[in-house]
Amino acid sequence: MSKDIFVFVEQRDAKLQSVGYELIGEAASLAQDLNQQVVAVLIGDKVGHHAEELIAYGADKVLVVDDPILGEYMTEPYAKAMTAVIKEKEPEIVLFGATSIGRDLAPRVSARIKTGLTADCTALRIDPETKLLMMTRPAFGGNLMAVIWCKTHRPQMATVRPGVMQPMERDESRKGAIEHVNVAFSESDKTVEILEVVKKTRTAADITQAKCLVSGGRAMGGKEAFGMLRELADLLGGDVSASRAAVDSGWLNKERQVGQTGKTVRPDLYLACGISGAIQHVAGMENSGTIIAINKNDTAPIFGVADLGIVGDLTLILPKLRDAIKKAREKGVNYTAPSSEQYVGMENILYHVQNDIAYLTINRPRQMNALNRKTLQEISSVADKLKNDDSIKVLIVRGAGGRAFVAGADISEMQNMNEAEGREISLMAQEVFVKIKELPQIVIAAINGFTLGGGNELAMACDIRIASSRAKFGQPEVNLGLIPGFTGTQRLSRLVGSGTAKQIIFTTDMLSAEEALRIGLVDAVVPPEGLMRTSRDLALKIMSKSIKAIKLAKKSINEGMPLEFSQGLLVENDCWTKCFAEDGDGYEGMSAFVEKRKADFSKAPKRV
Amino acid sequence: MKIIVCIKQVPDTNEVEIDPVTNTLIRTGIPVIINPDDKSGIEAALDLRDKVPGSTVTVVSMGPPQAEMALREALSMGCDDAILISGRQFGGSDTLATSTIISAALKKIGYDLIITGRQAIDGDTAQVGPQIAEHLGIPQVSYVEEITPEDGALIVMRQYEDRYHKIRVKLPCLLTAIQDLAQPRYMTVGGIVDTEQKDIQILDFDALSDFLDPSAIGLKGSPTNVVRSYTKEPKSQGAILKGLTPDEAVDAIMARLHEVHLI
Ligand SMILES: Cc1cc2nc3c(=O)[nH]c(=O)nc-3n(C[C@H](O)[C@H](O)[C@H](O)COP(=O)(O)OP(=O)(O)OC[C@H]3O[C@@H](n4cnc5c(N)ncnc54)[C@H](O)[C@@H]3O)c2cc1C
Ligand SMILES: Cc1cc2nc3c(=O)[nH]c(=O)nc-3n(C[C@H](O)[C@H](O)[C@H](O)COP(=O)(O)OP(=O)(O)OC[C@H]3O[C@@H](n4cnc5c(N)ncnc54)[C@H](O)[C@@H]3O)c2cc1C
Repeated sequence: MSKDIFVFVEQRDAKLQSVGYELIGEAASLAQDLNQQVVAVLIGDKVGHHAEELIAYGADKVLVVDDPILGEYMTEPYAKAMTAVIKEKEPEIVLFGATSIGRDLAPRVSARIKTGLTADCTALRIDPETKLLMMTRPAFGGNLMAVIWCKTHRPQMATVRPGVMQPMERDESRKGAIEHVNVAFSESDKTVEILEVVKKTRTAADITQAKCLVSGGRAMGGKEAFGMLRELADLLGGDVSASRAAVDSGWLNKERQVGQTGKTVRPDLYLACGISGAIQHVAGMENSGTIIAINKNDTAPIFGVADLGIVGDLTLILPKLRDAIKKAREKGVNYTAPSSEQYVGMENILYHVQNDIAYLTINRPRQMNALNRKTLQEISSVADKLKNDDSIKVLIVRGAGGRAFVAGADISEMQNMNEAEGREISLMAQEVFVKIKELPQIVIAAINGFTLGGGNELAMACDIRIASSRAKFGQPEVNLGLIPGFTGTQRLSRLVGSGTAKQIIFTTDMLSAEEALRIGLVDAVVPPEGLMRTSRDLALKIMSKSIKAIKLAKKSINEGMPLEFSQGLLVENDCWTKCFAEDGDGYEGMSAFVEKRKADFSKAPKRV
Repeated sequence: MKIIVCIKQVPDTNEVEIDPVTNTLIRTGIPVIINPDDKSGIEAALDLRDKVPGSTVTVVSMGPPQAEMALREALSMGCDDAILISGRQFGGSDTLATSTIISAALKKIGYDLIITGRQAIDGDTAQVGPQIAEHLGIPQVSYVEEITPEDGALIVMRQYEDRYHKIRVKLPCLLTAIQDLAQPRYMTVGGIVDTEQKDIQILDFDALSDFLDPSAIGLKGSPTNVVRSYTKEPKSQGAILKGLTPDEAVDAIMARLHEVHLI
């Protein structure tokens, strides 16, 4: 029967690599769950003396394969040694570092043994019921995490990303066994001939070991600017690292690159300066203790992982920061943080911009995204900011979690309200939903699931509603002794007619997406998996037109609707006239039409 | 020298977006491309063909019928032949099963040099190359950055984190290419027109049955399975401060540095 957890311990020039200690540390915690032992497999030329050290780091047993052929790494001799060990000892689990050696050796061995191999894992766990190893790994360039198991074949094998697992504290009092395994090598095992070993000579910087990293991106602008980061790093007792853009520009060496194709780091502090936070970069630093990011763009994705984000210009901030740290080192000054609006990340909503489209996601999936006071306030603050943001043309509103758009207001919060409080919450919600309706942006509701009560009222505040075929609509207030009070009685009757609105409100019957489409409550119904794509495509289509004209059209419809017809025409006439104004898009649009070219509304219109 | 380049058609993962509502990858509408490492492999192969008279370059891809697009692109870059390994029985294969199937096809068509990419940008395992080499019982050199032909052998530069090995390896062998190996050339117009006429040979299960154990392929023949997949939970958001003066910003950072005992 197979048992024990084996770790391939990597060494280079007979020096142990840190990934070996990390894997022993992880194996020890898995071994506890399985009630088995950790066995380190040490392969090399004159490496036996390291066995004690591996025991001090947590190995219960060390198997040593020592032979001159195992000096510089070659696939075949190492594969032969590893296969011999596995065949003889029949381990339950074998772990390799996902290094350029481990990722060459492990697949070769797995194909020889004919067992499964999971690549580049970032988390390992023993399933309590099946006792199987659950291996978590990123795929699709870090966009997706997959949990993988190997049910019937043994051993269960994985390569594990360096820098992710924690070594144990070194403890010399630990006891363990050391065993030499004999493998008969012959000349024919040298299937390749190493002609030359060229060491990369540059000062072997190892950013994975730094306690603090000051990291720079493209925005640093040049090699010289990294001198500032070096000063900061020295002051903080850390090291300097960079994004790939900075490395590709030749400002820093490749071994200082953080990310998917660079190093994975987890310092106590990661200070990201002018780094946008592309997913490939974040993959390499998101497990850092504290992340501070300085970026002048408040929608930079780096803020999504930052513990402290500073929206500002690094060229102004960094010199002052250096001086401040210097001064603090000298005197020991105390600092208190100024408070300021917390914007990108709020408690109950997520807001981000991608490809110029803004997304507002109601993010309380466990409460079916129910609207409470805090959520309304946060929506309101986003609306306030969007109102003055010309760079955003379309906003998509949606709910997190797959089950609900918004399933209503938070009843528990309103249960004990008195009359005054009841009035106040309704006024507040009405104000927020009016703000949404009056935004200069085009607002699309992407509706995935339950859209009830306040949720339906929020959806109606948007300009266009796209529903998943799974969505369900309703106004259940009268069940609770309430009426729709977040704009619902007024909007619903204007949207679908007072008869239908009354039917919906009086019966509280839920409507399917198809019914909602039929009565005009939503504007399109799409299969669930097509919801975001359709919404995005719609947004892109709108953005490709004259956005000025579209905004004027929105204004004309919104403001004209509640008016008497002839008054509405006056509003229309006003908006139309603005298309012909100096800064209107009419001239460019019509000129392009006449000249048979594509209109370019992005340029400031100029009459010649 | 008969050179085989294994290419995989992959979604352009730079364009992959996550739908935060359903928390799944949005797969529709994502452009498909030849895996970037494989494209460098093609270029290196074409370059070798120029240097070693009498050489041919055959591209091989396993995948659904649509993978023909990738093969056509390779042909228009100048490859001589293209082979599509395609069959219902092959679906759901992990790397061990994938490499088993591809090596069966390679046994059938013959080879002197096999080039694979180091890593496909979707599965991201970097395992298929070495596993093919093991199934065929030939030497492998992975992370190859430079190839120079020599009589009956190749001299290659193999990259590690901290060093290079300059290696002589005899044919037949398998190399895995990293992107630095070669800058891929563009399709030529002539190439595009020519390839329209070229046939792509299709190898299905029946064509390979002499070399394949049906229990070692597809979902059933794969030792590893994806139990579930998910997109990363966004980390709970920190404080994002905007509209501060540089001095205020510095105070905010200093306060945080203080908290983590760095000053
Ligand atoms: C297969 C693949 C692998 C990759 N691997 C990696 C990897 O390992 N590591 C990696 O880092 N990248 C990697 N990338 C590249 C990655 O996608 C990004 O292109 C890269 O990280 C961008 O670097 P950056 O953030 O420095 O530059 P940019 O994206 O250009 O960002 C610069 C940022 O600086 C900000 N800024 C500009 N001026 C100022 C100022 N004065 N003050 C403050 N902020 C300012 C801007 O707002 C912007 O957010 C990979 C890409 C691919 C396709
Ligand atoms: C989320 C996810 C995670 C996965 N994790 C694992 C895992 O940990 N272990 C595992 O065994 N399987 C795993 N798989 C299955 C694996 O992705 C498939 O077997 C895939 O067909 C090959 O793996 P790859 O894409 O990683 O290729 P790689 O091994 O990264 O590809 C290396 C090279 O092999 C060649 N190659 C690969 N596939 C083909 C092909 N179809 N046709 C021609 N040449 C090819 C190319 O030259 C390529 O550059 C996973 C699948 C998914 C969806």
